[in-house]
This record gives sequence, structure tokens and C-alpha cells, in this order.
Amino acid sequence: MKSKKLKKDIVNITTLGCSKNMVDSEVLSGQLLANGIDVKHESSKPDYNISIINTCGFIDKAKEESINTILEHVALKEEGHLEKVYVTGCLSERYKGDLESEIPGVDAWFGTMELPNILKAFEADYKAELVGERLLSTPSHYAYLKISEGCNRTCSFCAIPLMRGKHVSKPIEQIITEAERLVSMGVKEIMLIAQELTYYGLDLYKERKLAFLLGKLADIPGLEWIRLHYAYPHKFPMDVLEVMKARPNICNYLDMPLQHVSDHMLSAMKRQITRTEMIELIQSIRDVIPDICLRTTLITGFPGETREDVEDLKKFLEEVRFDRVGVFTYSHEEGTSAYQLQDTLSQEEKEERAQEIMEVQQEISYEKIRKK
Amino acid sequence: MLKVIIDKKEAGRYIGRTEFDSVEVDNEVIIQTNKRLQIGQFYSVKITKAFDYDLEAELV
Repeated sequence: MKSKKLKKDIVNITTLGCSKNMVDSEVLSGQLLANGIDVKHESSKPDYNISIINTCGFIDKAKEESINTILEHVALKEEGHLEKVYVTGCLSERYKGDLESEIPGVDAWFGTMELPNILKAFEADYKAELVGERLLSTPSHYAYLKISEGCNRTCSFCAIPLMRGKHVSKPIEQIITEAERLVSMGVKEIMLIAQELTYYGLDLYKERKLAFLLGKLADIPGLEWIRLHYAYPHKFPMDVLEVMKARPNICNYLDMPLQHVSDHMLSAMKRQITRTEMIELIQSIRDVIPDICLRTTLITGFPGETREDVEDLKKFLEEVRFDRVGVFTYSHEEGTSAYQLQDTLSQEEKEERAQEIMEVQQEISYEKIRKK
Repeated sequence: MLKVIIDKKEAGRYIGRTEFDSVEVDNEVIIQTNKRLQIGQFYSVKITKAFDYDLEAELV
């Protein structure tokens, strides 16, 4: 079946992976729209003729999903339903060289820092004056706001720096403008995201500026909730908590991935922190804001993780009692420093360990929730 | 009493979140009411029941 020749190009963007990728898609949509190009997010109908897939390249499952999505769109093109298929995002950044020859049906591959080049494919220009102009793909009352790109941390399991480069903070004025625009569009809750929030400012201003930025954001009228995702525990800037405590529109909420707890795992993961230091940090956070909601994420099955380490994780959760916990299984990623270690545990074993930990947390969550 | 933001309406019930819950990853507050609530607006609720992760609440 040949699709009807559409008079005007209509672009559809499919976003895979994390909220940071979602923001990139929203910025790309905003730029395309400003150039007079019709654009949709995740259209469920075949009412477009150009497809852009914003991929994820983080771990095995995510890569598989991205590749399958690309193949589906290439098949649609081969059947005559699509005219062009473009791929961008992390998978493309990381594996462009291999993928170009393996999936020749894709018209062009773009890296994570190539927004102007994507626009060129549409004979469109990058408009710098559009700071913060995005076509939201979330419901209009909340939005993600990315305060920096990349990451300078060297966690041994993590492939993000390979795909997103070094940490680059967005200037404060630019973030404020973006937040004000979001609020004027009806957004009431902003979730601040980055690969890691606490490093904010060190590259650009030579000092940590997250607390200062939060104060400025909290001044924006109509912004009712500001929420912090992804804080790195080593050298956590405690001044952030003072601002959180003083300003009612900054949620008493902190998402701080710890990844593991036993010292030899933390050291193998290159986390720059010990078990004791983490317990002290959590206690000092709760001393400032007793009712803070603490969220963390953990990894099971990292190379060398023993049964004792799993027991230690469970014990730690019972001691610390986080409000929310997510557990991921370790994915052995080429190009990371952990790739030199032996990935000896089976996927099944990794999943069992994750399940064991979630069962411990489930009890804690239930007890905590009942107190409300 | 908790302040919740209403994210959506599903199967006749409103689904909200408190300050302590982020989008998609955390708990939801399920609100049963005959009143018409606005998506994206804040309301005060009282928790009536707790499940493993989610809460049930009524308007106050």
C-alpha cells in the first residue's frame, strides 16, 4: 500500500529512555515548529511522513528497544508509509559507526550534541533566541527542566559520559528564563534534572551553585513545586537543604542514587564515598529536614558482588529506611571501566537479588505509608 | 491533611500526587469523589487507606 502523498511534511518524534531525552525531544520540536514544520510526539496514527527516533543507549534492554523501534520505522519506510527516518540520541552517539552500515535504511544518524545538524536536514535553522521554548510532551501542569548536560563523575559502571560528554552547566539566567516560560504555559511543578545536580556551577562559575539557583527559581510567581532528581552523595552541598527548608515551593524531596552500600562495592564502583559516610550524610539531611522524602536507586549484580554484599544492602535499607527505592540489575557496558572486570553473575541471579531487596523495601514503604 | 496535585482521571477516579511523590516513579493518591476536580490543580485531601505503595484519600 502506498501512502497518500502529503502536501506538507509532518514530523513525528518517538522518544525512548529517560526524562533528559524527553526534554531534548521537546526542544527539537520547539525548534522545528518555530521553523514552520509540523511536528508531533509519539503519534499513534500513521499521519506523518518523516520519523525522528530519539534513542537510549544506556543499558542492554534500552538499546534493544531503541534498535527495534528503528527497525519498525525502517520497515514502514520500505513499505512506502514513510519518506525519511532519522535517528538521534544516545544510542546513535555511541554506536553510529556500526549502526550506519548495519541499518542502511536510516537516512541520517545524529549524535546527542547535533541539534543544529538535525535542523539542517529540514533546511531549518537553529534559533538561539528560543531559549526554553519547548513543545511539552508531558501533561501541561508539570515539566522537566534540565540544568546541565553531561557528567564529570567516573562511576565505573556508567556509560553516560561516553554519550553525553563532560559536565556543562546551563547559565542561571537561561534556566530562569526557561522556567518562567514553562510557568507562563501553565506548568506548576518543575522537576530539575541533570545527570547529577550537585555538580551544577562548578564548571561555569567555579563553585557549586545549586542552592543559589534554587533560591532564584523559588522566586518565580506561580511555580508551586520544584523537585530535585539525581543528587550525587559525595560532597553533597548541604546549603541546598537550607534553601529547601526555607522555601515552601521547593518540595521536601531528594532523589539520591547510592548504587550500593558495602565499601568494597562502592570502591569498585568508584563512588568516592563509604558506607559510614553515607549513613552520616543521610542523618545530617534528616537533621535539617526531618520529614524529607528520600529516594534512592541501587544496582544488584555488579562484578564481585557477594551474598554478604546483598545481605549488607538489606541491612542498610532496614537501618536507613528510605521512603522510595528503585533497584536495577547491572548491565556490562563496553567502554566503561567496569567492563574490564568479569561479569560473572547470571541475569537471573541479578534479578533475584534485586527482587530480594525490593521485598525488604516493600515492608518499609508500607510501614511508612501507613503512618500518613 | 495532605496537599495533592491532580495528574489525571482514570476509571472515574482522580489520581494525584503529594509533595513527596514524583511523576511515574513514586506513589499515587487515588481520590474518590463526586465533585469535578481539575487536572493540574491542587487540593487538600485526607488519607483513608494505605496499600503497599499507593494511598486512597478523600477531599477535605
